[in-house]
Amino acid sequence: MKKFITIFLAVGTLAVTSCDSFLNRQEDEQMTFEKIWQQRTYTQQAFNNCMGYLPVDGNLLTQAGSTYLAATDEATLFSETSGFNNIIRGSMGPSTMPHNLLSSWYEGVRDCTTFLKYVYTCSDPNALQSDKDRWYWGVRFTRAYLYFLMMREWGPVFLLGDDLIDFTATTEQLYRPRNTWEECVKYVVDEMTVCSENLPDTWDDGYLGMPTRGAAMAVIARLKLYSARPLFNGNTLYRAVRNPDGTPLFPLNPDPQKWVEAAQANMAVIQTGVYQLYKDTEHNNDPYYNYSGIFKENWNSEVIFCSGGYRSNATFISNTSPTSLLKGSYNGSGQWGPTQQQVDAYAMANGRYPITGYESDGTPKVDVASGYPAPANEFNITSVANPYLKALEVSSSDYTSSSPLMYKDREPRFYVNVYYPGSYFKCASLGGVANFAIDGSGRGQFYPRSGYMVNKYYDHSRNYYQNGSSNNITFPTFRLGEIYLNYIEAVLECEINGVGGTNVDLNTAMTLWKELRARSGMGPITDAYPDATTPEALLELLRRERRVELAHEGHRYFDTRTWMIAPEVDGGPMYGLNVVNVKSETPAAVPADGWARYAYERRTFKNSYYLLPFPQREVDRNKLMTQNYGW
Amino acid sequence: MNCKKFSFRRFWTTSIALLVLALPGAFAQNKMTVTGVVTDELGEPMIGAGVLVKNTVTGVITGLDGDYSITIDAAGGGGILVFSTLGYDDVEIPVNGRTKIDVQMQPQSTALDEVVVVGYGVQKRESVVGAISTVDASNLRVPSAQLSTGLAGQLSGVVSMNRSGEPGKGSSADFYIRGVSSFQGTVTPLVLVDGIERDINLVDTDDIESFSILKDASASAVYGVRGANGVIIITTKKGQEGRPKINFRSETGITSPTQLPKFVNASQFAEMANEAYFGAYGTYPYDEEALAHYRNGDDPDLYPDVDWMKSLYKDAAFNQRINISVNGGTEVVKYFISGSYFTESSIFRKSDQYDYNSSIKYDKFNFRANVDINVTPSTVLSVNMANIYEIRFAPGTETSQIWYRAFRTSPNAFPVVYSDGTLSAPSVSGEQNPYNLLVHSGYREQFWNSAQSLIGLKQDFGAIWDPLQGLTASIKFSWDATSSQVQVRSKTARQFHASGRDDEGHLIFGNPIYEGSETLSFSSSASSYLVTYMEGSINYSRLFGKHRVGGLFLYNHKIRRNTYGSNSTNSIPYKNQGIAARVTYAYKDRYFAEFNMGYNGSENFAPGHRFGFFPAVSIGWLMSEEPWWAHVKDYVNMVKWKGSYGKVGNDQISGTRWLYLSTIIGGNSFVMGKTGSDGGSGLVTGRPENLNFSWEEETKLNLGVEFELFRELRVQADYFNSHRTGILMQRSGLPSYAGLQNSSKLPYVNVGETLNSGVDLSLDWHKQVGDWFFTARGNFTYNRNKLVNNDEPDWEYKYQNRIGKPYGVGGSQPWGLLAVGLFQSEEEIANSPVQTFGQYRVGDIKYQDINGDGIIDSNDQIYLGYTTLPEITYGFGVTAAYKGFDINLFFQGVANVNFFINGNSLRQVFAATDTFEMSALQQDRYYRGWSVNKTAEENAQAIYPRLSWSGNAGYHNNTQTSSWWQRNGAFLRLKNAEIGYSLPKKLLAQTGFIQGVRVYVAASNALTFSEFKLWDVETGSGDGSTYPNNRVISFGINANF
Repeated sequence: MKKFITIFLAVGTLAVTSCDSFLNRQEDEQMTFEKIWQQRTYTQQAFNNCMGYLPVDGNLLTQAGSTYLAATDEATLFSETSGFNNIIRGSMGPSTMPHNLLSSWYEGVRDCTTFLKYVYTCSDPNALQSDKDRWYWGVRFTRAYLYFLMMREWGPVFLLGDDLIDFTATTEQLYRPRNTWEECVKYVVDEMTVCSENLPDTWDDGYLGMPTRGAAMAVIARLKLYSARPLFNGNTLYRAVRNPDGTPLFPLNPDPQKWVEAAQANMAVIQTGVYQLYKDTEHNNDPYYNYSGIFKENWNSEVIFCSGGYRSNATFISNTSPTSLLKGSYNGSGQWGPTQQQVDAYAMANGRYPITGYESDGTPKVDVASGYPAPANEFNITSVANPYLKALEVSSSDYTSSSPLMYKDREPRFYVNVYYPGSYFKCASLGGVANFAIDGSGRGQFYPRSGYMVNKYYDHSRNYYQNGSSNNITFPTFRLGEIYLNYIEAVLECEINGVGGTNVDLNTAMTLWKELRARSGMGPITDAYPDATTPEALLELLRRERRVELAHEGHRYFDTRTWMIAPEVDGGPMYGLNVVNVKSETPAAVPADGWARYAYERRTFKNSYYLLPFPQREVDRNKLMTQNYGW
Repeated sequence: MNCKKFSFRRFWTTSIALLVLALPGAFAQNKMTVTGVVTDELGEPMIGAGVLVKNTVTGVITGLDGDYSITIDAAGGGGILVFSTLGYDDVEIPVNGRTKIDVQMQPQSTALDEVVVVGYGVQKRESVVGAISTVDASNLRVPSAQLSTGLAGQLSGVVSMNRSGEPGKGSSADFYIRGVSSFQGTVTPLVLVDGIERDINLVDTDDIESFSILKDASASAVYGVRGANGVIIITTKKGQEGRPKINFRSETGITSPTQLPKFVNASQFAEMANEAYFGAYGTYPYDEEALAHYRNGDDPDLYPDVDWMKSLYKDAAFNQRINISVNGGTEVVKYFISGSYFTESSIFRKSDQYDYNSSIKYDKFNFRANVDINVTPSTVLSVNMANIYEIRFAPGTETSQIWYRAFRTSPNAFPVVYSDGTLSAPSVSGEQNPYNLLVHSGYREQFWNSAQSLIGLKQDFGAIWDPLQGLTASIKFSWDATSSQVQVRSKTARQFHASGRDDEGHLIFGNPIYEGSETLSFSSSASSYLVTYMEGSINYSRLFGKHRVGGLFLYNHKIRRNTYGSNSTNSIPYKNQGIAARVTYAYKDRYFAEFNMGYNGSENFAPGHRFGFFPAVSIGWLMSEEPWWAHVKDYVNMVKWKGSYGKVGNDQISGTRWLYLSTIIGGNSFVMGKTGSDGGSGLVTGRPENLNFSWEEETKLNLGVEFELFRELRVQADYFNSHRTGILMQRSGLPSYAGLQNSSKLPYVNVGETLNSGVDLSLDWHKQVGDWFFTARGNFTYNRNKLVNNDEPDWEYKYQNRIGKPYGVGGSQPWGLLAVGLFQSEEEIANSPVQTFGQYRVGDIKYQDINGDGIIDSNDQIYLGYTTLPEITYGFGVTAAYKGFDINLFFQGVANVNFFINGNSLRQVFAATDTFEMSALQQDRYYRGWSVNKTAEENAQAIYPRLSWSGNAGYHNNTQTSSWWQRNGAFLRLKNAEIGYSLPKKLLAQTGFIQGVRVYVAASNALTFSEFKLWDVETGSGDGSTYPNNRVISFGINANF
């Protein structure tokens, strides 16, 4: 028996000691981390993953992007549940974030850091040095760009450099304070500077969409502009936002020198000489084609960086197609509309801005010199010709409509940017007239609550849905026009603050401004406003210019905040036409009582809303972290 | 608690008696003849009982009237007669010269040598120190194809819920032992059939010899890393020596839904739609004319009024079960062979238009043969073979889709079919007519074939060489194969929607909504598994004077192969391996100590971290065997105290394998190039490598007592406290900046921790009063678990901490807003905190501002009520027998359970905004909803808020998860009521071969008591859109030959 047991135990023990291998995974040659760096294709795929963190701005209307477009005074989106509602209704909080890309962007930072660490170890002889360099600098740009994206939403964040955080560390071991704004700016500027030194001016066709030298410089340019603006430059609200050790996270006092840096950084982009304002020579420099072509002519000379590359513009199209005209399988869900305030922001054809402000009841204050009718008459119905439609060769019976006086004789960018109801909506053979009143032809499940619709992204020469597909856009995340505006603003601010330096030149600024306006068929601003001689007065006009030129491109949300004018403009009643409660008797007609300034919603802006709160779960997890102001 | 009894002693005596009978004639010398009648406890004659002269080979068996006549040696008064039969206590009566001796036998009482099946073995009942529940398999008999549906309320410690009554596989119940203890890993128990991990639902109730559940560490430690969720051990019947005994049972049942929701009619619907739409847009979609049509029902084509429940579902269906088994054997070969057939139909309607019947029909064939061969007198070769063959016939459309559509389609959307025979459809494609899905979508056939084979060899060494007495060794090898196939022949029928009538009154159909097809298209899929298992063990058990010692050492491994894998991961063999050991010691059979251990491994962990050691110790004290207990022993016959403490594990992380390896995933793709055609897909590390992690461990404490009073009442009660640690879960405590928050990247760590404690108890009682014989049994299980750690930091508001709160299956916890009522006035709105879920009005739900900040938002969500898994499960039943009649009632219930009602027909009403056709509403919403058309008093009683239109005021406010939508899931139901009649044995005896016949009528789920009335409360959450549990009236006959 003893023998038997001994044998049995021996067999048992033997069996068990060899079990580790019994339990091994049957070899199936799965992908491993090591293999990524052994074959060119895999390394390139790892590169794709990192670059894929760049936001697809051709899809700006979805998710997070909708916040930049609709949570500011330039537009409205009809959507009861989208996150931006939390902002405009004042119900945003650390636990009720409209969107939280922080973790996804830091995921990108981690993937990029890992990639940068290993890319040069790629052992495939087919992976040329030039491949590795291209991959490396593309990813290094992406990592810095993610920080830029985070900073404009949250301000100072956590700089990780090349660290890969140990995930086995306890929650307590991972407590970490935020870096300061200055540190973050320096990091991104330094990273982008070294990227700009290693990235080419342009790429061959196959690499279009990859960041270039200009892109890296444009990020610096815009970041320095933001950093010079009041929100980040000695904002008194933020004095108490400090790390637990007392370090202030934001600069305590304004530093005018930052305007100099901003001006120089923007001039540097201009001086690359790579970019030109887009002009449509095929249409003889027609202002309508010039301006609308920026968004239709892919890879045009004005585009500095197109985040996300050549993409379908389906979301732009569907959200700017009237539901009534493109219904059923055409699937229009036109819900993106400029507010009345934005409509008011466009100049008259003569260059003067018609509306200078509002009475407390919303009645506009009219600049008589502009030729705009008195408030009582602005909705008088008259024959209005839409010159953009005319330029698009719509028949005269269609491009002329009986519409309020308000829409008559406005500047070209008005007609490109705003679709006003009652006007003809050209859409190849499916064109028609849409309005957005209840039971009117424009009212479906989705409609623009303001009664207007954004027009600039719709290519009226095409009927996307009849053709079965939308076409593509190379969305100008950075374009030369913006850089001009950045530069002019910075120079004017330098003038105001009495600082200066190389490349800070008012004459240059005024010339660039003139070129920009001329492109859209406008004379120099000083022609329309000969009395605007002070830099303060010019700055005011420049801000209006910026609002119009860059309308619906995702700038206004950050501009109103960094200028700190959001409490005045992003809060309070939002006006539009009275489409919400007005019933149209005949489908195409706009009912008379629809033509009225109507406060379709009242928005809230609190001082805490300048920057997003960090998610509450982040604050809970990281006891050294300081929440943003007011949260 | 009836333990299946098996007595070695009785087995041998009976066998000997039978052997003796085989001997022809007897020697006569100074003989005398004793006669008499043997009756059972009810006074019925007992046929076939053995009558043996003690210590001789002289014996007879009783005849048809229970009578016997035995000629015995008259010397010494005739010696002692031993009366014996299976299942009854032996009776020994000295003859003392009498010639007539009548005997009434008593059913076997809890005898010391009764055995209980434990992990990898059996133990004498009195020496069991682990927490083990057993149940008589006949109690698990339910009129369903699935054994699991019979568990609820039958065993203490089992928590079980039947969520669906769909014929066939769909009706299997969820079951857990002592609730759930992990919020991440698998929480279902390990189920072993004849020692092999197998599907519980493939076992036929009639084949079960014993059914045990192992609840504490002492009982389940031998299963090591697989044992933490408890273990269910089922053994099938074995052959017993004797002439072939045939058992036949046939049962036919009528099944009908316990309860289906009721929906509003067309006129009520139009009224509600008008109210909701007007609230949003200020206009009425249904004008007076339309309303009049709905009220009058004068145009069922254009103004239909359809009760979809009645149109799709019949009131009743049927099922049938036939089982026949043969049991018998000789000294060398013993066999148990059983076959059964079960068939079940559904309440789904069918169309006469087709040759096929698309309603659900399920057939199951079970075959089992267990054969034991004594190769040598001390070597037993066992072969167990079972084959289960199942066929299911069903509509071409998945039944879940039919239920979904039936609960979504408005009563006025379109007629079931147009009066001219044209098939109807919604006005837009994409939506569906549920009737067409049911009867005009073709059919599907599903097949399952499971073959289970086991071969075992057991050697008793003691029989070969005396010093090795008590030592046995055995080897077991099993190979199971299961395969299943689906063949779908489906189509979309050609369907139209009428838009109006032409001048002649004919319906205008226009183009078909669905062009459809006239032919059935074919598709198929299949899956298949092979499982091999090997086990080798040695067992030792011997009594040395007052010391009884026992031991077990066992090695096993299992390979499960998915032979038709659907991906590269699940097609790789699943492997387990381990050893188990046990040492038992008993002193005077009064003091017991036991040590159990499992040492086993799992493929989920890195080499070097794969094997875990799981020990458990337990002690027991049979206090009633102490000499000083003797004076009360007549009253308190038995008292046993026991306790155990030990550790078990759980390596089953649902769906994920080789957790220690890093994963490589696709990540983002990138688009570049002039026309976006360059760039491409991505590749990146997903979950990072972690070589250190390990299984979940559960430390279990169990304290129990068993006692028996007056030989009538037996009680077993246990307290348990289980602390599970190292629950392998994805981290929650990592900050965003670590860059791993994405769920495909979030690392796993052993950090979760829970505490689960409670009590379970069971009692059995039996008593005879004259000709009446009563039994009663009951059991009760209570458990409450608590999350101790899930790696989450404190929430901003501590009341939102998930830690410290109970959780249900899968870690789900009921969180939501606390509703305080419906706003009854504008003033109330103005004076209440601001709610941030869109606009709201009078009649909308008002929530409690938990943190008092004047704003109702997600910070005001709190833990609400109980989880969907009941904390209390109980069952109780009584049986009374009188002469040939017997009556049996069994109740089962649960308490401390809640669920949320949900769905488009109750909570998210009018969610389908583009159309009025997909907005079915349950009737309860009509009668008990807040309405502008009701009085303030009526509205104060409303249990549903104002009707709102999707995306408009009130909609998001009212559809928040809140206590408003939470319901009490407690119920008590009459699970089984049965009346039976056994034909008198005397009568049967005249047939010469029928031993017993019992006919019975049984009702299952006959009555349900619950405060929830909309649908079968046991199906739980949602809107009731699943196949309801069934009420079954069965008629049966059981005969023995």
